Amino acid sequence: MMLDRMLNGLPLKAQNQIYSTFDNLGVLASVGNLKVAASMAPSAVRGLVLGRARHGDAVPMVSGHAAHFDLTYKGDFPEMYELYRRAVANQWNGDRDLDWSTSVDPEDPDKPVMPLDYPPFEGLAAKGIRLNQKEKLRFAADMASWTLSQFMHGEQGALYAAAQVTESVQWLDGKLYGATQVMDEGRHLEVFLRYLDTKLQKVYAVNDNLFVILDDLLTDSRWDVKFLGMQIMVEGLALGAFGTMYNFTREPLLKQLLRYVIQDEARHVHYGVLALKAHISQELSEAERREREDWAYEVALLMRNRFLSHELYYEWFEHKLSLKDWDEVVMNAPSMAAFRHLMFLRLIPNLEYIGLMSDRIKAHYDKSGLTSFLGGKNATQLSGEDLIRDIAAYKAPQ
Amino acid sequence: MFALGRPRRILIPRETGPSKRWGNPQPGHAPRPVRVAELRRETADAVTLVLEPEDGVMPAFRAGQYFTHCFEIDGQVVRRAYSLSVPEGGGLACTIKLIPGGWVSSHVHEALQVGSRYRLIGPTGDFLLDEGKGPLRFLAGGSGITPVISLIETALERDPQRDIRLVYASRSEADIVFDQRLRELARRHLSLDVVHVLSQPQDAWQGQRGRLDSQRIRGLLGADPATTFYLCGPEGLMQLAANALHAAGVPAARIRQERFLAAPNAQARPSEPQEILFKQSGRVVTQRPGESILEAGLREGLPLPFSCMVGGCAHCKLQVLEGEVALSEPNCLSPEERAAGFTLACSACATGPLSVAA
Ligand SMILES: Cc1cc2nc3c(=O)[nH]c(=O)nc-3n(C[C@H](O)[C@H](O)[C@H](O)COP(=O)(O)OP(=O)(O)OC[C@H]3O[C@@H](n4cnc5c(N)ncnc54)[C@H](O)[C@@H]3O)c2cc1C
Ligand code: FES
Ligand SMILES: [Fe+2]
Ligand SMILES: [Fe+2]
Repeated sequence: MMLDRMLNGLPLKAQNQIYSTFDNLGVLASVGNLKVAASMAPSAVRGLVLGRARHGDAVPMVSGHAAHFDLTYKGDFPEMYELYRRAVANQWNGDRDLDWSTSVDPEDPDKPVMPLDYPPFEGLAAKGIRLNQKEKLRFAADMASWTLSQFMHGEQGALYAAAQVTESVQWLDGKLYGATQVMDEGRHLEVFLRYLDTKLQKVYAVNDNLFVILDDLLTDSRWDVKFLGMQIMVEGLALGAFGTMYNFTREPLLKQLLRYVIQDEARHVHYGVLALKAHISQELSEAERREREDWAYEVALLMRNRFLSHELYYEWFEHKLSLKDWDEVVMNAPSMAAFRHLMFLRLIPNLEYIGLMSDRIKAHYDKSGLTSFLGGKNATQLSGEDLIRDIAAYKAPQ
Repeated sequence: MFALGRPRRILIPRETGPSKRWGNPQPGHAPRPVRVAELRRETADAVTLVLEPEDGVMPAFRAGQYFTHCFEIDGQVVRRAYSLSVPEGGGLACTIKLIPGGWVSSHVHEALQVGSRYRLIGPTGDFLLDEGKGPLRFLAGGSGITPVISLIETALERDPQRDIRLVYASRSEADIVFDQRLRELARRHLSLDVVHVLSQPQDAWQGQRGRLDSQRIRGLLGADPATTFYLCGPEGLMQLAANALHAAGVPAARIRQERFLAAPNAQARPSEPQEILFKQSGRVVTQRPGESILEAGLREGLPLPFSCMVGGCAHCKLQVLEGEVALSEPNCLSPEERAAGFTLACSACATGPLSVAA
């Protein structure tokens, strides 16, 4: 490859600069669809090129969506109201229902937050990086902090997206439901922050690629794209990531926390699927439907390929390994395979159910090896309990 | 304008450590979520709930102890104590008798299903096994058998030949809870003797019948000073038995009792905030409308002891120095404790400015 030849022989720092510039451009280039790339470009520039998430205390994100004010209260969507009822009944209390007096030592080998079979130690060793037992424990603890930090940033995004979507959704039952989701996401933000702040005591900055996706969703004015992005794509990503962590961790407080959060997220996806199926089949032209379909596909690939914990790389290996090698190690790690499996297991059947899986796009998913998940259970067929059971039943390939 | 030259921010600075907003969490404060794994009917009005902890961690408990079960019924959290009806290490289960018109027991009998979830506080209780080798005598009445079977099974597991007698008062044959389980135990352990006493037996009943009075109780339990006695059943029966044993010279320390007190009446709580001074820690805490003294203190991070939260264990007992409280009844405070100005923080609230010794 040309890039490989270019990098060969250069000092590590220069190699990384070139690689990450190409890599950032690659985010857009890898989006095979020009229209989709154009819609994402401003966020990609803000996140990857300008590094807006890396300085200052806050970033303003401006959205042009309209609040849909209901004047007649006529619409009736009983299935959605039922979800609202369930959501109200199942509210939990992040302060009361979790045992925050549990003492957590992230480097305790008996109750590890992130056990040693999660980080890609074998892949690192193959690149000549060997950590001793103590370093391994410390690295695993950092990886836990990194992962949970990203969960927290994602929840902050989810909180605002849920609020925006509640404004713009046209069904009254959807607005009621949305209000519970806003509360849910607020609570998720609370418990992840509290866990990081009081237990792990180490918090990582938001990852650039995650920032791009969140920024894109929060600033897109089309409510259904926001909705699709948040309720199906990001929620799907979250279920994959939370599920993987839930399976791996042996720390009881975190396990219980994740169990509660996963059950809420299951409801969020269910809502998204209900609303979008109705919207896509009744309101969109074929051209608009295709555009959503392409967008979902590109975002799915970004989510699969882009969460490579660069922050950990810079903290641990910047002078020992090239960024490119790091990406390769992470992409091939068994824990990543588990994450991808759990994410697509839920995502693909949901896209199919809402009508974003025509034969045309199936061919693309097939090329990316994702069609084996077709025909699986979608969110309307799964309770939070089923979901936890499926997650726990999945064992990462060794 | 490119980010490349800018130092990369990896960690978010936390110079001041954890935020103050979280307060100081108390151990055991968080109720433990459980799931009903099995519902087993024992008699026409008793059902056993087999529970599974949701976090997969089986809580440690000792035979004879109980958990406080927190159900959500009609949007309200209702707490009731239920003794464990399994031996130590034998899983998690309790057996609940339907009380006509009872709020929680009818909920359990009518609405609970496999898969239902709720929360537990605990375990707690000092109705515990005597760890010596001496004989054990149990008197159980009705649903009072639950902690008793836990104690008997645990005792026999540790010492299969321990000298044990159970006197178990029930209404009729059909009302004997754990009939089969007790027979099986007695078959396997010759040192266990089970005596059923039925108040309304069928004509064909060959065993003991009629009401238990002091004399019969003494006759059935004996009064041996090396024996430990356990009483659990209706209040009247327990009182009778305790008096009979005392009169026969059994030292009080050898008599252990578990009272299935009815849950305290939910009484009206002040609708205005009240200030409470906790003298020992020097803190003034504002009790919010609806809160107990205990809830207000814990919310503010005071290290207050508690256990059952339903007025049954006295772990939360504290002395009122000044001011008035409203205490829910019934509860486990003795007349002597009341006279000395004690109250139960879990079951009482300040009705005006209050100062307490804790
Ligand atoms: C330490 C402890 C352990 C317990 N263990 C068990 C157990 O293993 N199994 C079990 O079934 N119960 C047990 N109980 C009793 C249980 O906590 C509840 O009080 C009982 O189930 C009644 O609750 P409820 O909500 O159905 O009735 P409520 O709605 O609280 O009461 C309804 C009416 O019944 C009366 N009442 C309540 N309890 C009784 C009673 N025991 N006898 C007669 N009248 C009563 C009340 O005064 C009221 O008038 C235990 C109690 C304690 C304190
Ligand atoms: S906590 Fe048990 S009596 Fe108050
Ligand atoms: Fe969430
Ligand atoms: Fe969510």
